[in-house]
Amino acid sequence: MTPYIDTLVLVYFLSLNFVYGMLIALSVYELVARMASRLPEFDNIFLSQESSPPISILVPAFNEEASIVDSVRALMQLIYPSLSVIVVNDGSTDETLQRLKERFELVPTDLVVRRDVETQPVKMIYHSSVESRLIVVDKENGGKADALNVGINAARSPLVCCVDSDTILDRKALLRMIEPFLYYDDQVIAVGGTVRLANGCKVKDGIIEEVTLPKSWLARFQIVEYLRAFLFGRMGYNRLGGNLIISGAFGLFARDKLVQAGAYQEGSIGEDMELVVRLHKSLIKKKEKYRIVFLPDPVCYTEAPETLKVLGKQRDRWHRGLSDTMMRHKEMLFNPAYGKIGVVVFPIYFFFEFLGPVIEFFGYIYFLYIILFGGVDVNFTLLFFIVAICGGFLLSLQSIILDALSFNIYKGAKVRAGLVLAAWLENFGYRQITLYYRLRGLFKFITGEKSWGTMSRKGFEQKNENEPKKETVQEKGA
Amino acid sequence: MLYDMLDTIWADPLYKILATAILVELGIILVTVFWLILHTIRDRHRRYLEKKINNELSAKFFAALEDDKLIKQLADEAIQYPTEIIRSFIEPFITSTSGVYKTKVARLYRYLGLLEADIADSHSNLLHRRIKAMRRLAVIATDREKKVILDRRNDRYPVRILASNAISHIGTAEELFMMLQDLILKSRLMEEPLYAVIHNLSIPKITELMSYWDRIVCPRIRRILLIASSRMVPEECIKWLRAASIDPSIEIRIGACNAAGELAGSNILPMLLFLAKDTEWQVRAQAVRVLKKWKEEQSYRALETALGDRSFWVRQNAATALSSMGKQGIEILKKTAYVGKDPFAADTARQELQRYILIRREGYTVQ
Repeated sequence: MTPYIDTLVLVYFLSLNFVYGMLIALSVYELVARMASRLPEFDNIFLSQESSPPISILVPAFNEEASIVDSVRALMQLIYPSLSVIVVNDGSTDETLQRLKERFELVPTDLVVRRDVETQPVKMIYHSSVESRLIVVDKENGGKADALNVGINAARSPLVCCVDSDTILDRKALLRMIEPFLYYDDQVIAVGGTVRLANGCKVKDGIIEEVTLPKSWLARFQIVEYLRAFLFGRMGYNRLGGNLIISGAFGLFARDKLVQAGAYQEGSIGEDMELVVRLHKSLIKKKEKYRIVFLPDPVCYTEAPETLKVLGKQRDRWHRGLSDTMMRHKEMLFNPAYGKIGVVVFPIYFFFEFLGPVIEFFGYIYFLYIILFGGVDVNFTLLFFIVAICGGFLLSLQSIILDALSFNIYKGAKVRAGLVLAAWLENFGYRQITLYYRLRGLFKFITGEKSWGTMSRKGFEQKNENEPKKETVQEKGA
Repeated sequence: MLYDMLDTIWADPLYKILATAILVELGIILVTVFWLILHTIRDRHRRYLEKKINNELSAKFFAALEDDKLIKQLADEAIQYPTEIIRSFIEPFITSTSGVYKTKVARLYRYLGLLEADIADSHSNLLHRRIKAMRRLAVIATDREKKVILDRRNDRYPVRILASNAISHIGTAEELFMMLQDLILKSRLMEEPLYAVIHNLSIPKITELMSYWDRIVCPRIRRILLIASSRMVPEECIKWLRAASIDPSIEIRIGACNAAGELAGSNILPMLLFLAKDTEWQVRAQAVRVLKKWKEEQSYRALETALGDRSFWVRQNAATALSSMGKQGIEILKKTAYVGKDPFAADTARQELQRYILIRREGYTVQ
């Protein structure tokens, strides 16, 4: 039986590396194309035109009294000519709404909200007396998806931007994100941007001043992971027919397409991924031409967990979200009716992301079995182990190169050496730990657990080490 | 023992494949790490050169903008730097200067050979090179580069729209018409760059361009032109307005509404009242939006009716129009809000009245 298992493992491994190799090649192509089609020199013309498409930024907020005012102020500072911010207070039990009322002098209004999407009841809508671009919707608690749906109902612009309130957005993020809608000769319906990690960065007044590496190795490993996921993973999928995920931290959507697809699904665990898969599904079914674009531009920064406990909760939820989406739309798997998405992209996610942890776990068990009981091919196992480790390291190195060639965020010998070291060391411990978390997520999904849990964040700006650092916020997936 | 092990590995085909894979991987890893080291050194050198060029040439650059004779001298000094460094030095000035200064920067750009490089790239087989070149040419090109830019009229959309932008500065109306004639804008959002193109046109150019209006294929472009002409050359717009108001294309009828709103003559009102009853809600919404300019009995009546329209946007626009029409408009809103029988109309009117009160508060910032 051993040769069969060896061959099976080898075939899976080769397919995985073939897919990753292909994604790298496609990512290089996409990156070069994107670097050419960024148009910062037209920003001034764009900003001075009254015809710029209006954008509504939707901010779901649940128990975010500590940060909500700063978040809204930061969003108001985004550089874009026609912008409104809709904060949806999702039945917070703390002072979130009160803080907004005090700071922005909210007054109740009878704003007519279209019920394009069914949601939990809206209690009251407020308009700011000092900031014409701000609307606050107070509603019964219904979860993040429901809060975003209320925001979609309240929005009156053709484009809606869904953001997490605890991310730092680049001030020109919207100018970059709107470009595919304006300059690509396809019907662009959604644009996602690259999320980078703010751990270790110097942040002042909501703006990243300097990008450096954090002291925590756990955060460093995640920086390498994010580079891999965003720079070669998602960029490559652009060429293959489109991504299956636009991060919930920051995504720009055509409102009418969201409504047509039924907007966010209540009860889904990974609502951001589920929505994008459903958009693909509904538009392919209708035979509409469309494009979902992912941009490599570093448009927003978020904070990575620096403790294993919090990391575990995050990864566990991400994998439950992925599993939930894969199973909800399993009929797309190898289904030619869904074109490249059904035949190429969905199967890649299904076999290498969704089932990946199971196969990887099986590999480790098999490796242990060989070591403990012998009688099997030790040479093959050792050689294969080295190939796998070097392959993983190589993939991480490629993503560091892609960053250096494109936006060059992580500059300098010290920072790059730190990243290369993290890319090597993550193979010994970190990967195995995250594998456990993903398996735990899969197990919880099978047993039907749907809770989101809570996640501690340190906060971006810490001036005084003695000050209390931690605040608890509802977890936001990347 | 090691040699024995290596012999064993090399003798088995499967092991041989794996061992080869490891060697290849290690080779690529070494090359990659070496490249990263080189790139880091290059990065550092580049930053040094950028600092140096800024220190050495900034003052001379500004002096050259005032004195033509210094441009050649500056170019001779700058040419000693690598092209990418010169580009990074000069590019911010290209977009931040205008008029005579821009012409001087363009001359310097030419002296440095950067323009020739862009022209060569504008014909590249690679789309990204053509886009990059056209991005620069769109802001720096002069009459001399016109032919090269016109050659791009059948290129892919991003190149073509950038080329149109350049032609709007340096070309004639006929040449711009050639660029736009069969260009198709597939979505409303794709119109934005075209607004920038039209925005650049002088009065004589848009006057001449309007003579080709009915020969432009894309209704979206015709709509944009019709609206722009109503602001810049009303007499040219009026020539097409009647035809536009009964055009089968919804886009052009919307354009007729918006253009009429800009013209605002009393002879326009009957046409707008007609468009306020259009079969398409998008047209009705635009017609009622611009009716606010005619404070006449017929307009008030049309807007009051529109408050009960089946479309949300028509009701919304009608309410906003009424609130901006003064006392009589407010009275109609109050009547609809508090004694009207149509709940949808009442909701819309009430919301508009609240907004009206809010924006009149002191210290209120409106975007």
